[in-house]
Amino acid sequence: MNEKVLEKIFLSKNIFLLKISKSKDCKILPGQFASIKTPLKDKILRRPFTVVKDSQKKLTFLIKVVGDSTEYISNLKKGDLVDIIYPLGKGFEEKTDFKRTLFIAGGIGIAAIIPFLRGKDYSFIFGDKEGEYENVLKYFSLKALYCHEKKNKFKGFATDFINRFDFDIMIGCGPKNMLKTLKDYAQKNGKKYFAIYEEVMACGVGLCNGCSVKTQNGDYIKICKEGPILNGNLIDYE
Amino acid sequence: MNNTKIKIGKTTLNFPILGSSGCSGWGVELQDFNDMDFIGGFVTKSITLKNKIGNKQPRIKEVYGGLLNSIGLENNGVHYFVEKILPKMKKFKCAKFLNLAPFSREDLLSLIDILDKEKGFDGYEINISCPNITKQNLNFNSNLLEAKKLLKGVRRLTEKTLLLKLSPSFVESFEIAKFAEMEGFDGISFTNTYIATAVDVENRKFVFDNIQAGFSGPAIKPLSLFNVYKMTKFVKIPVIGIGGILNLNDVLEYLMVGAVGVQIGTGLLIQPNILEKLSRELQDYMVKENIGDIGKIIGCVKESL
Repeated sequence: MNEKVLEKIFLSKNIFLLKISKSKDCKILPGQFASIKTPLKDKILRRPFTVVKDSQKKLTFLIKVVGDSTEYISNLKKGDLVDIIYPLGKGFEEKTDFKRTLFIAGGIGIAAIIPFLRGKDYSFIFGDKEGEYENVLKYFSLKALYCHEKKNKFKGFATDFINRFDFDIMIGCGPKNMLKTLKDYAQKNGKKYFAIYEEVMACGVGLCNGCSVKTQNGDYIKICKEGPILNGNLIDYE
Repeated sequence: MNNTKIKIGKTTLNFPILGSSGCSGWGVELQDFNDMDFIGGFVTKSITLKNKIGNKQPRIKEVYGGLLNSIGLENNGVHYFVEKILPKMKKFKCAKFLNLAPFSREDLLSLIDILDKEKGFDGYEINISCPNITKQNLNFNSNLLEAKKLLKGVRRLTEKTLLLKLSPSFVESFEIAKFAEMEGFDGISFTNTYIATAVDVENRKFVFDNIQAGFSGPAIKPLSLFNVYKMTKFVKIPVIGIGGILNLNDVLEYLMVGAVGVQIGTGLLIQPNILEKLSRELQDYMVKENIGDIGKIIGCVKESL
């Protein structure tokens, strides 16, 4: 289906917010995503993007320019049409005490964590390697232990600071290495752990098994249908 | 009313457009995007006798004009299919084919033996052309003798419609199709993906764990179109054309060179509603062009002036 671009806001050189119309009557849960098809002839597949904010008539995405498709999207103007399918994936429905949850995001993984961060009573570590997300934190008024390698007092990886928090559950989204480190920590310390996981997706709707991820049990689960929020302790981070 | 119906074996399809195996899930996933009464049908993912976990990631690589896949027939085996999936599939009125991927003749006989007791589907598409199970399945497609041993007498095991899915990467496919015709198969699904590969230059290794992968998408359309044309001249049984179809013009090209119907794979991954969309567009086209019967399109291209 087609939606219209309502607004686009650049928060740093390569990171922008895309706000589009929402004509479908549906509620989008944290973790659910949409897939966008650009008219680029050499990029035939859709690209999945987490819905960072859902309201009645508007969907907001936080997107980082990493290739031709995201660059194309970054050049869309108000009123342009977007070929989009939503909502996709399973939303987060588990009953969870978010006061006893530690959220961890690395880079653009923050887009999938933002929908969870409501009110002021949450713990959140954010790793920003290049120091390009400062305005994202400001825009969404996020309170985070903000670490990046250049100018911040918290030098190191997001995962280096886990011990500063007291929690029972972790929810993480970011590079595979980060998600794997979180699993090691969760298993050593007996924590419940949800990983918001990504693989290259072809269809995003459960037709092709392209995005299947291996579990410890030796089988595969489809990220697009069963995820993207998966039991992080079960994933085999190859 | 313009007639868009075609017949393959005992199966009548309301439209000559099906979802291909591997890109239609188990059919169930299509219903969110298509009116299942308004599509020709679909072919399921491959069913193997035993549970098959599939290949390691990466499984997908987008390339110029298409994509490479290395899924590896991930499925939970035939018994799981019968128990958990078939009941959900039965309700659809469109044509439903089960894609069977045997690794041996015993496999194939057991698969048909188990499935033929069940109802709620139209037939089988026997797949000997999966590019991602290097040795076990593809051997049949690359070796006429092995293919003959596999397929001989299979017709006698089932009353249902029998299709054979073949690879464009082996010249043997044509002789195998002829053998299948002699054996009483009802149709040939052609082509599967082209065997291809990609290199990860930075790490100096192949992208896929299995080295080879299946190449699909718009880039293969002219190749498959020619192969399908050749196949329609080679056998008299219906040929279902497959390869790179993204729009109605592509569908018409395949029909005009003699395919009785088409299957859409990669196109479905991009536009999951494409089966209904193109079925409606085909109907509109026939009204506009005043074509009363789809038979008037099939094989209509003139071969010389």
